Amino acid sequence: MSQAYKILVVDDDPYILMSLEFLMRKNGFDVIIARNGTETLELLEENVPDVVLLDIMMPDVDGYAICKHIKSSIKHKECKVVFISAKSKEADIQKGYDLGAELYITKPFSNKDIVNKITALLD
Amino acid sequence: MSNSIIIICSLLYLMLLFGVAYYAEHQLKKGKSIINNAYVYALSLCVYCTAWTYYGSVGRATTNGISFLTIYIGPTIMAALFFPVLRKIIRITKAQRINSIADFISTRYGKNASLAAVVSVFCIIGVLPYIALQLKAIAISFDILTKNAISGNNFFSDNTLYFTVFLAVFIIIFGTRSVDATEKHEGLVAAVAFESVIKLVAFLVAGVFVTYGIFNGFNDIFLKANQIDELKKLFTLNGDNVNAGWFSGILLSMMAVLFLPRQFQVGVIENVNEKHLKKAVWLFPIYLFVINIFVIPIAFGGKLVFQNMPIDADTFVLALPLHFNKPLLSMLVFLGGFSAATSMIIVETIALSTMVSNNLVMPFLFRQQNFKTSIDKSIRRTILYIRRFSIILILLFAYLYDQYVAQYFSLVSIGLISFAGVAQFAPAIIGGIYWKTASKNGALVGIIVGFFIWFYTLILPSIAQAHLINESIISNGPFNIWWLKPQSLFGLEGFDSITHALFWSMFFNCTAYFVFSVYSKLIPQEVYQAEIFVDIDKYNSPGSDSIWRGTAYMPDLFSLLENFLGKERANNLIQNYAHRHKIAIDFGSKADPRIVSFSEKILAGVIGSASARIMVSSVTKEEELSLNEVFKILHESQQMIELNKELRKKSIELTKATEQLREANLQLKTMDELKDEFLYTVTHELRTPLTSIRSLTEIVHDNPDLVDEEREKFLGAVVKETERLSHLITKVLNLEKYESGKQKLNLTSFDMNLLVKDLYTSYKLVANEKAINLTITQPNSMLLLHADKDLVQQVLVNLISNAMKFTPEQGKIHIVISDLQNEIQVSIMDTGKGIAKELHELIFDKFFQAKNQTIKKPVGTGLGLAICKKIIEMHGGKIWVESEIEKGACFTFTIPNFEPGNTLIEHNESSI
Amino acid sequence: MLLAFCYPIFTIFNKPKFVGNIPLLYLYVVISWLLAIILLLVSSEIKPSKKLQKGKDE
Repeated sequence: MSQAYKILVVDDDPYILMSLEFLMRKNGFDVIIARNGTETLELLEENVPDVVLLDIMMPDVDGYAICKHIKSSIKHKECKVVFISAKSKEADIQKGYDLGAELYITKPFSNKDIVNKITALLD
Repeated sequence: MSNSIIIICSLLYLMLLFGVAYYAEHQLKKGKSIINNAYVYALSLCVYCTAWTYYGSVGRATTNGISFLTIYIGPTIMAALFFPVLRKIIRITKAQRINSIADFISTRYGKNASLAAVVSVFCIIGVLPYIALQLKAIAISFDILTKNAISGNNFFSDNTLYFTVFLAVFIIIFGTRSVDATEKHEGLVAAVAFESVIKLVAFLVAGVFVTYGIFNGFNDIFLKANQIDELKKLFTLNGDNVNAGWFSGILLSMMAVLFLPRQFQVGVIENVNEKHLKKAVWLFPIYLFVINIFVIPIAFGGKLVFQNMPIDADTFVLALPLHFNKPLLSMLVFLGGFSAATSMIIVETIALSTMVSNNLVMPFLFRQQNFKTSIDKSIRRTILYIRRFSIILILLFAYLYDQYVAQYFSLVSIGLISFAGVAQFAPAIIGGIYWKTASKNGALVGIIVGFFIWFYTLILPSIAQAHLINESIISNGPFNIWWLKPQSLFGLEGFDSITHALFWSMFFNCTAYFVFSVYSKLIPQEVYQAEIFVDIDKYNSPGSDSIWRGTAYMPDLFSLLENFLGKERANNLIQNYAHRHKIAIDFGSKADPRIVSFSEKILAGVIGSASARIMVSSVTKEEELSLNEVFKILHESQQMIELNKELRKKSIELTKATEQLREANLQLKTMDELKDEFLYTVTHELRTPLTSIRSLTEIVHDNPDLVDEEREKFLGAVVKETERLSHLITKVLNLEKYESGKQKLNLTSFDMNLLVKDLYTSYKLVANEKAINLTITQPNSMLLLHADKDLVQQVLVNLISNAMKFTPEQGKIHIVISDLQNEIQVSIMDTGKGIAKELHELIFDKFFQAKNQTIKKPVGTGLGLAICKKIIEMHGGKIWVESEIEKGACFTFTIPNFEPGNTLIEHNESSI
Repeated sequence: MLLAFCYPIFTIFNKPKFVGNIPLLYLYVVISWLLAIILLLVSSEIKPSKKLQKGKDE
C-alpha cells in the first residue's frame, strides 16, 4: 500500500460511527467522518475519497441522494460507494445497486467481513 | 251579459285548455311528464264530477235533501277498495295492453270479439245521453247568462254546435296522436286535471258567496230554512223505503266510479304509475267532499231567495250571483260548469271512440277478406281516421240527441240511468278478476240480460212518458200482464225506479253470469286468460305469456307489425323483447312462439285484443291446444317465474356474500400489510443498536491491546446501546398491549394539577442544566381526574422529555394546564425546530418514518407519540400538535373528566 | 264503512233534530264522511308504506 486509501464514513448513529471509524483507521485507511447528509456533502466538496461508507436513513439528506450526487460528479468518478444500512428489504438493496453503489452491506455487520469486502473492492 | 262577451270568454277558456294540453305534450317531449304525478292523477279522477254534479246536485237537494250525496259517498267507500280492485285492474290492463273497458272484458273472456262489441254498444247507449246532458248544461247555462231568464227545454242555440265542433277538434288533436291506444293522452289528462281545479274553485267561490255573502253563514241558512215547511222536511230523508234508495245510490255510484267509460279511461288506461293510487285513495274523496260542502246552502239559499219565482233549482248556482248582479262571479261560475261539462265530454268521447274503432269497426273490417288482404302501411292512417270519425260521430249523435231527442225526455235522472247501465259490467269485471270459473257465456248472457232489464225498467218508461209509445204498457204492463209492468216487475213495488231497476237488473245479471259460467265449457283461451287475470301477480312477468303454438314466419309477422306500428317502432319493440328474453331472431325464418304472443299483445294495444287475435291468426298457422296443454303451460310458466324469483334471490345473496368476502379479504390483507410493516420497522429499529453493540464488542474482543480509555469508551457505548435496546423492546410490548386491548386501565381519582406540578419540579433541574427556561401555568384549585395515573404520567413524561430533547440551549418550554368544563387540557410548548405541517398526523403513527421514507426522525424510538396517542384515546381524549418549521411545537392533549362511572369504562371496552 | 252510511245506523240520525242550528242528519253525514276520509288517508299512507318496506326486505 503505497498510499493510504481515503475513506469517508457516514452514519447518524454516533456509536456505529465510532466503531466504523476505529475499524477503518485500524486497517490503515485515511478516515474522515460525517454525522449527517449535509456534513457529507460539505466534506465531498473539499475531499476526494476513494470509498464512501454510506448510511441511508439520516435526518436531513438520505444516503441514496448522496450516492446519486457522487455518481453524477466527475470529480468523484473514481469513488466507490458502499451502503451500510439497516434497510434489509430486497427493494432497498436493489435501489442501492441501481444508483451505482459498488456494495450494499446490511446492519448489523461483522467487522471482519466488512473490512475484507472493502479491501477486496479496492484491490 | 252580452252574447259575444260570453262566447269570447268561453273561447278564451278553451284556448287556455288548449294551452295546458299543448304545454303538457311539450313537456313530455322534453322528457318531463306532467301526468306522472299522484296529484294530477287524483285530479283527473275528478272528471267524475260533471255538469250534473255542478248544477244538478243543487236541484236534487231542493227536492230530495241530502240523497244526492250517495253519488259521492259511494266513491269514497270504493276508494277503500282501490287497492284490491282498481290496482289489480291496472296491473292486468298494463300487462295485457288493454285500451278500454270493453277490451278489458273481452280480453278476460278469451278475447271474444262479440263480447267486446256488445259491451261497446251498451256503453254507447248508456253514456251517449249522458254526454248530451253535458251539452245541454252548457246550452242552458249559456242561455241563463245571456238572457238572464230561463227558457224552456226547446231552447235552440247554434252556440252549442260551435262548442261541440271545437271540442271535437280538441279531442282529435290531443286524443288521436298515436295509433297505440294504450299510449297515454298526456295533453288531455293534463287538461282534465286542470279543469277539475277550475270547477272546484268556481263552485267554492259561488258557495262562499251564497253562504257568507247573501246569508250569514250556515247557521243563518238553516235557521231560515227551518221556518219554511217545504225546506224543513229536507232536513231528513223521507219517503217509502228511503233506506233502500240511499243504499242503492251508494252501491250504484261505487260501481260507476270504476266502470263508467271515462272513469275507466282516467283511472286505469291513463294511469302512469300504480303508486299514484296511494294518494288518490284519499285525495279523490276529499275533492268530492269539498265540492259538496256548499250544495245544501246554495239549494236552500236559492229557495229562500227565489221563493215565488219560477226558477229551475238546477240553475241556482248561476242564477244567484246573477240575481245579485255579480257579473264577474257569474262568469266564473259559468266557466266552472263549462269546465265540468267539457272535461266529461272529452274523456268520455275518447273512451267511446276507442271502443267504436277497436271493437266495432275494426273487427268488422278485419273479417272482410278483401280488406284483410289489402292491409299495408296505410292501415295506421286508416285506424286514426276511423278513430277521428268515431269522435265526430259520437259528438254528433250527442248533439243530435240533445237537440231533437232530449226535449221529449226528462233529463233529470239521466246520470243515474247511465250509472245503472254501466253497473251491468260490474259482475263480469269483478267476477272476472277473482273467479276463474267465470266464462265468456256467463259474461255475455249476464250483460245482455242485465241491459235488457235496465232498458225495460228505466228507458221504456221514459219513452212512454214522452208519449212515443202507448202509456198503458207502463200502467198495465205489456199485454195487460200485471207482473210485467216495467216499474214494478214481478209485483215489486214501493221502491224508487232506480232502486227497482238496479235490483232486478243485477239480480238477473248476476244469476245468468253465475249459472252460465258454471255450466259452460271453457275453451283453452278462456282458461288461460282467466288464470292470467285472476292470478295477475303470479304471471305478471314479461315473457311468461305464451300459450301460442303453431307455425309462424318472421317476415309475415314483422310486416304485420310494421303496417300497424311503422317499421322503426316495430323493429325496436321486437328487438328489445328478443333481447330481454334472449331469443335469437332470424328475420328470414320461423318465429319463436313468444314473439308471436308478444306481437299479438302489441297489436292489441292498437286495435284491441279481439282484432289482434284475428290479425295474428291470419298470418300464422295455429295449432289447437287442449285444455290439459294449457294447464301444463300455465303450470310451467308459473314454476319458471318462481324459479326465476328464487334464482334472482340466490344470485343477490351470492353477490352480497362475494362482496363481503372480498371486503374481509381486503381488510385482512391491509392488516397483514400493516403487521408486516410494523414488524419490519421494529426489526429495523432493533438493528441500529444491535449493529453498534456487535461491532463495538467485536472491536474490544479482537483488540486486546486497546488502551483502557478506549476500551471503557467502547464498553460504555455497548451498555448504553443495550439500554436503548431494552427500552425499545419495552415500548413495543407496551404499544402492543394497548393496541390489542390487553392493557386494562387502572382507574383512580387523582389531582392532575399536582401530578403536572411534580413532574415540572423534577424536570426543572434537568432544564436548568441545559439552560432551558421551563415554566408552567396552572390553576390554583385541584383538578380531579378519574384516569389511570401511571399512564397519564407516562404521556406527560414523554411529551416533556421530547420537548427537552428538541429544544436548544437558551430555549423555552412552557406547560399550561387548564380546566375546560368537561375535560382537562394540557399543552406543552417548546421553541424547538418545529414539525412540518404534513407530518402533524404522521408523527403519531408508530415508526412514522418507515412509510417509504428514508429521512429519519431525529431522535427517539418512534414509538413514544404512538403510545401517547393510544393512552389518551383509551381515556376518551384527544392529542394533537400545532407547529411550524422553526417556530417550535405545541403538543396538546385533553382527557374528559367524567364522574367516576360508566362512560369511560364503556369507551375503554370499545377500544378493545 | 258502508255500514255507517246505511240502514240501520243511518236511521238513528235520520230525525228532525238539531245540534246547534245544524240538522242532526247533515252533521252525522259530514262527520262520518270526514272520518272515512281520514281512515283512508291513514290506511293508505301508513300501512302500504310498511308493506313496501317489507317487500324491500324480502
